[in-house]
Amino acid sequence: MSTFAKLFTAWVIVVCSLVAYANMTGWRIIGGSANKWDPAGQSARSGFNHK
Amino acid sequence: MAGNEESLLKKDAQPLKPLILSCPNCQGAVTLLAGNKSLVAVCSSCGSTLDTADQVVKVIDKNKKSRPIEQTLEIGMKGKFHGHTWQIIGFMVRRDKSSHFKWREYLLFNPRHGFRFLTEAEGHWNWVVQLHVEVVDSRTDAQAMGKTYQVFHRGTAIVDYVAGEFYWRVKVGDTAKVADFINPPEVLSKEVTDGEKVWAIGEYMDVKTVENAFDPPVSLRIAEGVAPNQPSLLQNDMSKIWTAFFLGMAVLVATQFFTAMTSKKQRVAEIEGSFTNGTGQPALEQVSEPFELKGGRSAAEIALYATVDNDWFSGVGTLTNVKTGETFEVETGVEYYWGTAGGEPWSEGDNRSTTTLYSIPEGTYRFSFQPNGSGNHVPKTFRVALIWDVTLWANFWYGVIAVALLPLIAGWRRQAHELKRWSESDYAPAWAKGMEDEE
Repeated sequence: MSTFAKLFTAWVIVVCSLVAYANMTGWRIIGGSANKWDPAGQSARSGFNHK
Repeated sequence: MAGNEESLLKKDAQPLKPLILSCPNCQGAVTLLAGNKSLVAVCSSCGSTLDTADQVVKVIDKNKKSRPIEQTLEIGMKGKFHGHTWQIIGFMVRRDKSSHFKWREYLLFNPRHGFRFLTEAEGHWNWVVQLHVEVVDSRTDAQAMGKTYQVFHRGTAIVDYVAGEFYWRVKVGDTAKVADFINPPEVLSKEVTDGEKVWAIGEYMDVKTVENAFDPPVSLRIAEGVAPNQPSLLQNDMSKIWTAFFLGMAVLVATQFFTAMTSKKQRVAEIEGSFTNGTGQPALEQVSEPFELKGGRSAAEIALYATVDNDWFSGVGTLTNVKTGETFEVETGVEYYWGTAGGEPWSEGDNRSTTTLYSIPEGTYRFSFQPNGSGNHVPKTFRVALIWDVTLWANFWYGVIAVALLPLIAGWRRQAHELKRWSESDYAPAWAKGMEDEE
């Protein structure tokens, strides 16, 4: 197996392990532990008027 | 290359010994490293091309040609290839008659193993051996040794320069009909001269291999572009890459399925209330009774429902650890609008929403909800629930993208390599022609 193929296999193992760990601990891989709902973003998109 | 070497060497033949002749033009010494097997030699003193087939040496061509600057290996150099030592005894430059594309051929000799060629074009090297098996060729391909080779080039080759010695009669100006068929890393070359057909098979050789074959190693030019039979770096890897991809996808799906099946999705707290905007009174914060969150860290969801009608409603949900005081807070809301436009009904939003709290540690908690706004003054009732240990789907899709990225990039790079390869051929397959036309 070439170096590239080995690296890719290692990458797949890392990704699968990371996803399994994140799911087990309730952690979101991107956007991690940010527990926020952005009202400004909602307003721009849906017309919320928070004033 | 041309000339049939098959009859030159027999299995039980004695190793060939060099011969030294006198050039009839300048009386300089001409050494034939391949002994009496060389039919042509170029005098290194005066540049005359000599017929050395028999004992009376004749001058074929007196015109001395300038040494081409592209000649990077010298006649007489010895290098180790495929476990044997080979000596460079001949060198020629050839040109395609129509495109004037040039390439260089080095004739190598080993007293016991015969003749081989090293060919070079634009910095790409091939190790070439004459072929003595049946080859069946057609307009589009050639079949040999159980493999199919695609036609890459047909043309006429002209000899522009010769130096050293050769086992066939060759001089500057000689022409041959040539055709190349490829099955990377191999190339099958056909030459037809005076009705005689000769086949040779070349295998792509990395420039570093050529450099390090000589002692001391030589320094050669960097290759440009993609050679006809240059293998893609990923050529032998794509099947392994796709196997790893599908296995990775299977693991991701299995992991996500397992997570979904084992998630408790436990409704641990629920709060109900009402809220009216514009009363001048602050909304009361509703607080639940304490409850236990068990099973290590996990994600929780705040599910909100409110009776909004062309309106919106929002509030702040807070999870407070009773023992440590640690809080997890999130603002959440719902909005729902509807109407008709041009007689057609429309709606936007929903009176339900879910918002996720990530990576909450286990412990004893209270949940509270503080309404903080709505659009109009119509009273709203709301119901908000906290659900513990929910299934996260975002991580699964991140994993799919991450796993799919590399084979997609590898496939794209391989296709780019193939496009570059076929851009130099008049016989590119339809898919390559189509993509070139698009570009």
